[in-house]
Amino acid sequence: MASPNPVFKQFPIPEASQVPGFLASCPMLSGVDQAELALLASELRLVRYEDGTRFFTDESPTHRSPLRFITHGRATWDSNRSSDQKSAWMLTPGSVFGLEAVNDWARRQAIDGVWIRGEMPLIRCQALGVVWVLELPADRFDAVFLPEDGRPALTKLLQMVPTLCSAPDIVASMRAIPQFARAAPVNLYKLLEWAPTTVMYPVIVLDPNNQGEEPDPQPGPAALYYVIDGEVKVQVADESKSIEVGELDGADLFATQSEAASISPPVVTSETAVVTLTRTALEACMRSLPGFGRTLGPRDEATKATP
Amino acid sequence: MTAYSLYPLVTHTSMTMVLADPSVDRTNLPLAAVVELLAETVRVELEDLVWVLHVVWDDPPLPPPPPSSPPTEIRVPLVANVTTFVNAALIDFSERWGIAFDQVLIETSGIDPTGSLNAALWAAMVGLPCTSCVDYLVDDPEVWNMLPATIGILPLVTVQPVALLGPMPEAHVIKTLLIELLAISNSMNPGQAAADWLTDAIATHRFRAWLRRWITVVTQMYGSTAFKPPAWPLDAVRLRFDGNPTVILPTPADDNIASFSRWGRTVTQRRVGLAIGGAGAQSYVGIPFIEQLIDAGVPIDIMSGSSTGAFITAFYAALGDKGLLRMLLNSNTIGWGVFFALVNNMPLTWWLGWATHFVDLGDLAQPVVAVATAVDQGDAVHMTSGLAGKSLMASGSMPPFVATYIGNTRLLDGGLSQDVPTAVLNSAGASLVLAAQSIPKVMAIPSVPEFIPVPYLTKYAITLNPVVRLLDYYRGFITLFRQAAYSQEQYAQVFYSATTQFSSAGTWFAGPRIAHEAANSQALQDAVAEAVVYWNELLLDAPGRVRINLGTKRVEVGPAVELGYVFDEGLAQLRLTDDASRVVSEVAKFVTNIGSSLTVEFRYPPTNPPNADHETLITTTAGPAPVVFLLPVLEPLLTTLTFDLAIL
Repeated sequence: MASPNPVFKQFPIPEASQVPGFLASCPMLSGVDQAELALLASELRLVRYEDGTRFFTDESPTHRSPLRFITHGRATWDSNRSSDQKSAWMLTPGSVFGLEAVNDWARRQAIDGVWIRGEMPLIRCQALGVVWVLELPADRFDAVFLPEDGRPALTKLLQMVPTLCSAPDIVASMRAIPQFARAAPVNLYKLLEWAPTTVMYPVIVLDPNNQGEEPDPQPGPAALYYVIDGEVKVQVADESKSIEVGELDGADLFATQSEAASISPPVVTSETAVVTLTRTALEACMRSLPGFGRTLGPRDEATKATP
Repeated sequence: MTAYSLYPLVTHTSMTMVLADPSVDRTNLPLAAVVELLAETVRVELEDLVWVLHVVWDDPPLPPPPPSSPPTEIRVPLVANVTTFVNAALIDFSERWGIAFDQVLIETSGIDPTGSLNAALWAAMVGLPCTSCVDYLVDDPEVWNMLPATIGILPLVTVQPVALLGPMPEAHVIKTLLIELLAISNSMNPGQAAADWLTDAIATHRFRAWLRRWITVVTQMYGSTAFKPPAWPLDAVRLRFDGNPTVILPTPADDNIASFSRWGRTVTQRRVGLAIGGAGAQSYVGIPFIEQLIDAGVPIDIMSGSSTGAFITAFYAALGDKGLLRMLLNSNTIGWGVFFALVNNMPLTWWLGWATHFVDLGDLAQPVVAVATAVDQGDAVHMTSGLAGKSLMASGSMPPFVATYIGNTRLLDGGLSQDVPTAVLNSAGASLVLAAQSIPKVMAIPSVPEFIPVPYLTKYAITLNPVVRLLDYYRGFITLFRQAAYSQEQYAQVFYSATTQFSSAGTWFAGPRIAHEAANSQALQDAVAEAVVYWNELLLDAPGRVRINLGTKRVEVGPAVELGYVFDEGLAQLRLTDDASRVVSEVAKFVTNIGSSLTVEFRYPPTNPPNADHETLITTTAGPAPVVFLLPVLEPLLTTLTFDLAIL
């Protein structure tokens, strides 16, 4: 790792009461309870990096890299898998980086839910202006993530690893559908911070008396799915869709509640890794990014609102 | 494929709280009046429905306002927890009145005249049911850079930095000094006048300012970053107020008007970015592009450029129209500077610095992002601070001309990494990105017709000719550059690809001719027309917008909102469309809150008149809200039954 040491300054540990609230508001940790973040919060230190600091240069963070939560400022994030211009993908307050380091550490600890190291892209990451981060040194991963209290946060962070690795492809797929065609890539990358990757398994019917019968359909989440590995089948209204690797499809994220009630949960026939972007996540992003809602949908119907 | 909803329904306002850092001098900045003026600017220039909420202490306690009109104040009891109370009040306002406004501005100087409660008020913006943002005013970049240490680690809310710039640095120092000395020597009592001048200069720290500026300029000119000022955040909106901006008599200062306009566009997410690509003298096509955009009424809030594109944007940001004229009139000077840059680029660097009044990029009210390429990493570098002349030189250091050092970073032309820097404008907050791609196709060279036999050895001799090979290299370089520039089209809504009859990237004297030719080209006129369409679209509401206009009492809906009926095959009966169901429900809640009634006016085709069932579906959805059905209107051109909503 290109050491940022010459240009950083560490500050006293921030107020313990403030950090869990901040962490809980980070998109990548959404859904994790503040109490479950207390252990992580207690180990974080506040660090200031100067303008131009290079965090990574053509490398993938290893188990020796720290985990960082941006609290103030921004940094560019360029993946070697992306053809996007520098600054099209920005880390902003609430973004987390160094997830690959946590993944690498978890792999060494033989923890479930890790991703294969060979798939990690090479990264260039540079501070654009002064950046403040809450930093968890790599030598504190054991203390934070091995206890049961730290597992919910670890699980959530690991779920974000493949999303970020595939983010350039997902953004490209999103820009190809009318709902997101006008949105700026920088906002779509931000939206993906609310989209974890989960591994789905085929449903095994354990009740021998019920074998062969279809289970009662339950409404699934209104979500778009991007398949990283495997195949997903979704039923929306009367239409069945099969989503294969590298494809983005699923339910109508802008649908109203009655339409959402007709959506069945996704079905897989083998172990499948899927990035899931729910309607709830989209709404959270719309509340968080002023102007984002206005850029959703295709262009040609945008005309003056009339009485 | 399932029929997708193309737009989300937007029924809630956006809320923006304006906070000023405690370090900001508020003597000439009455925040309550400033926010009112900002709201007025948004109403007049952007035609949005804006409301201002003042947060004040409830001292002495007053009865709550009548429920029929939106409150103008959030009155906080002296004993209340500020964060909790204000947060609850904002949630309540959003739920009761959110459908009636596009934008709510929240101003807090009544409760917090010094900024000591900023953290508590900031935290009150967390968890609102609508889009929320904090506009945070600072007058020093380092104050912004130290914010986590001063305000703490707060839950996430989008924060828009608002930079309060000081006055522009004194320009033409020597010229001004000579004029003043002339005035002293011509005065009745030169000795006394000189003494007065000296006293005044000492009192106003004029010499100190000159010395500081001279050191800053000269050290930066020779590559040092020791005195380089810190950069404003990339997405900061920059305001330059001349005196108290709320005092508008006899006429408001130009800087104040422009600042409020820029801030208004920022608050409503309507900033326009302009990127001008680098291509030597060909970049002069950017000059008429800027002129015609302004003439067409398209504002420019942020600019970026590489190489000569950066020159044009910085000259315009620093000097306005005069800057563009200076570029046109001095194309030969730049040409000579470029020529000498084969061995030394300091003459051109000094000229660029002088021509831009030795201004710093951080002092420009219209932010300029000058793009260069860091040699060691091969990466784009986005420069938003530092001496403009030096940054421009770095941005234009195209090999084989010499590279430019800023600090220990060796920089080459920005065109090598991002010729048309469009993506950075998205990151800087531009909702509409306009771009000028200046690199032309290489000019066709007459070729020998096929029927004329050319001996092999002649061809071989030509392939070995160093002049021909140099020309091939140059033309290949231009062709590659052009291809690369097009890869940046994806981030821009309008991409003006300039065409001129004779391409002359290296012949600077041709700059004015290129600008003139571009000004009259169809491509430019098309690009400007397209920019106008996009700008006008940006002024409109989102297609899924629903709002109640309290002025007209009408419920206004965007074109994507369907207020009508569908036949539900599952239920085997008619029902309201999903949009209609939600809109009726929201409007009914609103009228119940304010003690009014919902009025419905059906519009129907001859084949499908409204009946009691249609009315029942609406009254059922409206719940306890009183509903008044107006006389239906026959509209032969309609194919389905629709309705309009209003409030009494």
